[in-house]
Amino acid sequence: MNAHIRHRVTTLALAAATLATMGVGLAAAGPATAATSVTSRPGCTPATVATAQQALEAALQSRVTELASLTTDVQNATGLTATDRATVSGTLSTTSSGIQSLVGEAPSAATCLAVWQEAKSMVQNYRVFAVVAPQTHLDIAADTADGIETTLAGQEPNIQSAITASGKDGVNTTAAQASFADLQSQVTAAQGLTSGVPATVLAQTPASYPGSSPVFVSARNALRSGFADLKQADADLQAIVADLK
Amino acid sequence: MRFRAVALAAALVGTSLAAAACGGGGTTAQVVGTPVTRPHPAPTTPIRATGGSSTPTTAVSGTGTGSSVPTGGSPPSAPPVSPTTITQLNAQLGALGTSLNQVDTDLAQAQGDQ
Repeated sequence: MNAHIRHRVTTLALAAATLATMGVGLAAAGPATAATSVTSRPGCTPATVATAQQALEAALQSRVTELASLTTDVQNATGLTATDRATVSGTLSTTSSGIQSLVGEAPSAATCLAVWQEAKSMVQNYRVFAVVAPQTHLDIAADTADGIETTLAGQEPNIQSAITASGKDGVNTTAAQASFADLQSQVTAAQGLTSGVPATVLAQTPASYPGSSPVFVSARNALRSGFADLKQADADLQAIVADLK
Repeated sequence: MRFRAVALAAALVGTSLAAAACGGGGTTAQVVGTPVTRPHPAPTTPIRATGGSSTPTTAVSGTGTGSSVPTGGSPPSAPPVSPTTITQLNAQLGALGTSLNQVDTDLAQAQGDQ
């Protein structure tokens, strides 16, 4: 865990703990528990609301930092398709605008109810960590995988031609041909695993939570399997190149 | 006087006067000798022969010795995939691994924070 993540986790833990102690816990922002939390804020008093307000500001700032990091990741992601880049960038822009609006309002949250309402909006309306972050990185990964699959599939005719030409020159191409068959199989398998991921993850919204969580886990698992297939395909390609030298 | 005239005439054509001298009075002088030939003047332009053919009418044959130039082996086969493509693939695989690691972090973090 790098320093940035450690800092963020620590900050969030403190914010959550502080708000929870004051009955304004982030968990209380969930729809199912909101009513209970509103009525059980024994720790939030006029004497301690300033501390809760500061915790809220820290939680908002951690989201600002996360969104900036995600925006940079999108900008640097060469594998993103133009369409997905526009979609993800739009989500990040909208979310950033909303969070920045809360940042501007947070200093004015002078009551426990105001702090709680701000925290609830921050969590429920934007779901930066639960939805936006995994959604962004999953889409980048899925599009990158798709790019690799396209590259490998596009090279398959060239590879077959090279194997055929080497065979005519008297080179034993048995191993190369077997590696090529495996390469094709791995690419096809990866395509089957990853092709639907972008549409699935981009369909998730803050309102999708908590149902979005298993969707993201499933997408991650599919991409992990596809990644393994593509690494094997790359190994096959390296073997073919070596065999035909 | 007539003799002298004939002799003179013979002398003028450059021939022997022997017959005339022996002939005595009134006979016709007979000119004997070899014709004088003059050398043809040298040509002022080179003389060139024409009318030949460049195509030999008989087969040209012959043998010779010499070293042959080595031609080497056949050129190496082109790689099935260019080095640039392989580099690109490796970069893409690295980027995919990085993104998946970020997803792992996101999902782990999302469990404790919303």
